[in-house]
Amino acid sequence: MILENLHITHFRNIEKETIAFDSRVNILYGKNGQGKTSVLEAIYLLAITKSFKAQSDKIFLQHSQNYLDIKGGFKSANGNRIEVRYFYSEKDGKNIFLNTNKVEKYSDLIGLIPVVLLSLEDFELTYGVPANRRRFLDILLSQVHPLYLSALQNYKRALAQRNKLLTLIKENKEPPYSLEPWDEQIVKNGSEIIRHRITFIEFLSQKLAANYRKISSLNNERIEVTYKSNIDDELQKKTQQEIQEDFTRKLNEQLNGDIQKESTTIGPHRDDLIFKKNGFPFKSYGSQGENKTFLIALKLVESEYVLQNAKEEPLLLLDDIFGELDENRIGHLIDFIADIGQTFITTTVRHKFENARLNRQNFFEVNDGRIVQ
Amino acid sequence: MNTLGIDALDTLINQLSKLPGIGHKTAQRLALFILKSEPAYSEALAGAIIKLKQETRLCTRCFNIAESELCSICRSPQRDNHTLCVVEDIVDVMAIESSNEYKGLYHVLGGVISPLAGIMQNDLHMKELFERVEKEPIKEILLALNPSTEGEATMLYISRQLKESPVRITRIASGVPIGSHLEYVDAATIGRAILSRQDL
Repeated sequence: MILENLHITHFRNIEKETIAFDSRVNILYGKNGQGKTSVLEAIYLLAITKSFKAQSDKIFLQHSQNYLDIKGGFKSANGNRIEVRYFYSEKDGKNIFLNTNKVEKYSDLIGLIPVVLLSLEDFELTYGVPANRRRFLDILLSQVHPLYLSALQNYKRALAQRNKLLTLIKENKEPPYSLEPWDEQIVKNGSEIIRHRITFIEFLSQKLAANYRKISSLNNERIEVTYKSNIDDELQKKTQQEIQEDFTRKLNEQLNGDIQKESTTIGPHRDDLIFKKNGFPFKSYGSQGENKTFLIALKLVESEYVLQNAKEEPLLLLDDIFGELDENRIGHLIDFIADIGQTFITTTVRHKFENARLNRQNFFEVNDGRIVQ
Repeated sequence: MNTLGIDALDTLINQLSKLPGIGHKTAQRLALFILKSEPAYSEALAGAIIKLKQETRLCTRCFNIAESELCSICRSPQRDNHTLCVVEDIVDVMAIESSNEYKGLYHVLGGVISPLAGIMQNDLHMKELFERVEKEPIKEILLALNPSTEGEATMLYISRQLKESPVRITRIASGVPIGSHLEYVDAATIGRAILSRQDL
């Protein structure tokens, strides 16, 4: 997918801008707080229908304005032109339009414009809490597999119902057997989630080490990725049927504990993805540069997965991640990235990109909400 | 809200805007239409509304809408009393009836199980359903609840409760709508339809 042009009105500190993008590499440079990230956020909103920064639409609004309007003109791999428009007003709330038709179910839009984002918020992905890594898997797999998104929505719904029921059972208001229909749905949808996650992780472990070596100067690092589930070890060796049986058994084993805690302790909502380097998990005190290189390698595999499964090149959004890398490394990376998909990079240091084979049309200066090529 | 300070008009607008799908603007337009119409029309409309409530009630057997103790479907000798279709609401009876394909009887649950909404099996016409299975000559239960998480759970609950019973339990198929093009059907529905494909 290629984003050809973007119109932004009253979004954060951007008054009204129209940007025509390069089909490969776009570098948005400028001082902090000028609106570089807002451009990436606007692109992300069109693709995912939610922000990666804010929870509420109200705070996107430019000061003292009552509506905002973001419109993107895209070209798909088979040459189709697509327009997505995100419109928010204080009066009517949020509305999204696809080729001028109002989108009723936002989940229908997910995956149409695949995006891969790497921002400062992702830095804890390697060593932070497991919820970060589950979110990473969920956003990626929902974009590529519509059935994953629907299984995830049903799973979360059934989980909320089950947890409510656990409270009622603890208070003796309901008998434990009333859990049965919810458990069945949790197992059915949960094993669907696990199946997709395992397939992706197998792809990831095959590609990640090679990618990491390509962009890192360290050649003999050993990188491993594994899926850790509280249902079972080595789920990847089991059939769907076996996973369902193990899941059901584990839910029953934990039943009394779950009733006491009024919460479900077994299932993919508690699973994790473990990254190891030379046999050890990543630690928060490791080198920031190494962590960044690793994350970039990870995002590149993510992009490859999208390309292979969704048959559409993703948009790569790289938010201010090149700070500590030197010019040679950056030049090398840009060459590599440009082959994967259209890329949008924000940076405060334009001069670091001089080495990369780029022209004037690849650079955009962002200054106080104005964007100039 | 803009009003002309005319009490009778404001009261009608207020009542109309409580109807589902009717906002304040539409309620205004409807009220003004009634205001401008012949008195005979407004009397007929008011009469129809009152009559609806006075002359209908819920069928004591299946909880469909009825004019007497039993609804017209339960009373009809043409219906097949070996098959029972379980639905969420009266509107679903209307939808299935409009297909002219179903000849059996109904049972309206009045909702689906949802602990979060405070609705459990005892808040629905569930006990009455199991009593009917015992007393009536039912051979098949067709579950036609919406395929939401709650609808699925309710169908599972019913089928588990009737595990020991000899009745056949079926559920309506879900998949690609008739007459629609595959390219316009959402991907999750197509995915499900492919997973539950049938031999030809």
